[in-house]
Amino acid sequence: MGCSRSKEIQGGCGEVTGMESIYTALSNRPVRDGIRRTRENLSKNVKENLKKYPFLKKYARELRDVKLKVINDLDFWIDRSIKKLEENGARVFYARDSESARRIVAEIVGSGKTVVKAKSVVSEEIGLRDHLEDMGNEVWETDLGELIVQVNNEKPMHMIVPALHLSEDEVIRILERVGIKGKNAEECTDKVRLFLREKFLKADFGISGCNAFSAESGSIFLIENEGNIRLSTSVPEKYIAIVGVEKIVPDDEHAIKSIMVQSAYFGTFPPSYINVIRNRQPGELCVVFLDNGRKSTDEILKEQLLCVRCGRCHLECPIFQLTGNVWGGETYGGPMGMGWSAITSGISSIENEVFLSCLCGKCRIVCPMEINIPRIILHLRKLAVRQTAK
Amino acid sequence: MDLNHLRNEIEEKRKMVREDMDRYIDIFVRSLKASSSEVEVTTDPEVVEKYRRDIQEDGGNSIVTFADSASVSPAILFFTGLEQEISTAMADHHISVILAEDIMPDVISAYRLALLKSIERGHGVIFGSSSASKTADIEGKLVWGAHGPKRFRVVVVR
Repeated sequence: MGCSRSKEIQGGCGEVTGMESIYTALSNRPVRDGIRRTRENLSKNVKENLKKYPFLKKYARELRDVKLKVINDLDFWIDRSIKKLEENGARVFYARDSESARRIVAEIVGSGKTVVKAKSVVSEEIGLRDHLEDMGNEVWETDLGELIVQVNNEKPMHMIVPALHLSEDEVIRILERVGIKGKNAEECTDKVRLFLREKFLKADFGISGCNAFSAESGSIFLIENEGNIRLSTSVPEKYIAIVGVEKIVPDDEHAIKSIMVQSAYFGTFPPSYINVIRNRQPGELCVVFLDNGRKSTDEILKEQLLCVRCGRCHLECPIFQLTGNVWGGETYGGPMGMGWSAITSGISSIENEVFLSCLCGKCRIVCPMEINIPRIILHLRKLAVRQTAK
Repeated sequence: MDLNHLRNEIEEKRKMVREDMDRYIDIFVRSLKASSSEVEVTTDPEVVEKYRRDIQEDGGNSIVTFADSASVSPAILFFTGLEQEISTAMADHHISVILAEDIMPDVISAYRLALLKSIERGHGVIFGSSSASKTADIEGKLVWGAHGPKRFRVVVVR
């Protein structure tokens, strides 16, 4: 897997960077087909979910207010969360930036270990997998789509559906590289199940992100459909959770509401599995809270922190529909990726890309948190112009 | 966390379900079926033993567990405990028994009942299941049994 994943376009190992990669993506038909297929499947589900369970809209409105309250007083909620976790017997760490987070996790894991990872955008944000591999560890993504893009050495095309741009035939060929041989989606899935079972059983560490964190009980809330998160967080003796500080909500009730809203607005509701981890006994729970720009956002950009990462804005965005995750920044991509990239990597990471948005506002309409993404993008354009003028 | 307050709140919700049990069970069953889960409603007190015997004879990788609570719609069953979490996650077929009295009218109260039981037992993990394991990560094609159980059967005991 010897080529850089940075801004790589599916189908080749030649590194293409910046705006060039976006223009190349425009001629990449499978990306558009995959996004269209995913959108058709999921948009219908979202509409049905909201019709069948009208309380979800109420949850979303309530959650926006609660998350705003937390984001306006992050230090207080971080302190409270750390105290509760320590009472529960967890080892707790605070990382100011990506480098610090990588260093903390690397010190916990060491080298020569086997690590199973649940799909986690925050771990992508800090470049964790590459770092742990460089330290001499064997690291496996365990979500099926994420494993496929790991083996194909590319970045996820969507944060929840990472391999949406790949055809069944392509996936069959990709998985063969690690000895997984199946004739179709069903067989491949079954073979991956067996392949990863062995990894789960021998893993020294499991690593996940966090969908919501309750400061009341010090619990990590995670949702999924495959069961790989459940295995990653329970089977290895040691489990590390990386928690973006904006994931904190005051109590368990709002954590449940947050994961309900996230899964409903993504389009798979109810989630097959909910995992809530308060402590890991027997075993060890390590929690790394990550700031990485979240605490120092300006007033306009702060609204992005309300995001529950449902991925809805990606699929509905006319620009994302053309380019996929190539547009919007190194990790996050899409309309929400503009704000997130600026927060976590600085304005220079998207200084050209912000001008490609058509500002149609569909992202704002479909967002359960009603985040005014067009306003954020306009704000980022101003910042980008000011920076260029300097 | 005020456990007495939690107990009182749960009792109120239980009362609400008890007064309209048939309707709640009907909604629960329909909701599970919508998630492609298998469902059976029984009054047979021996049902758990029957399933345990079947599993033993079958020799397959199946497990029978008691759920600690469940929400009516969406139907999600909650369990507690790390060991049980691992064994259900590794099974090919998860058969879950839920007592009708532990069915709650909404997800929040079902979670709270499981939370209360987890605290009383000293369990640090709560987990919920609404269906068998699934994925659509390869060309959007739905496949059951990605990592967790390939089948999820719920037995409601009245």
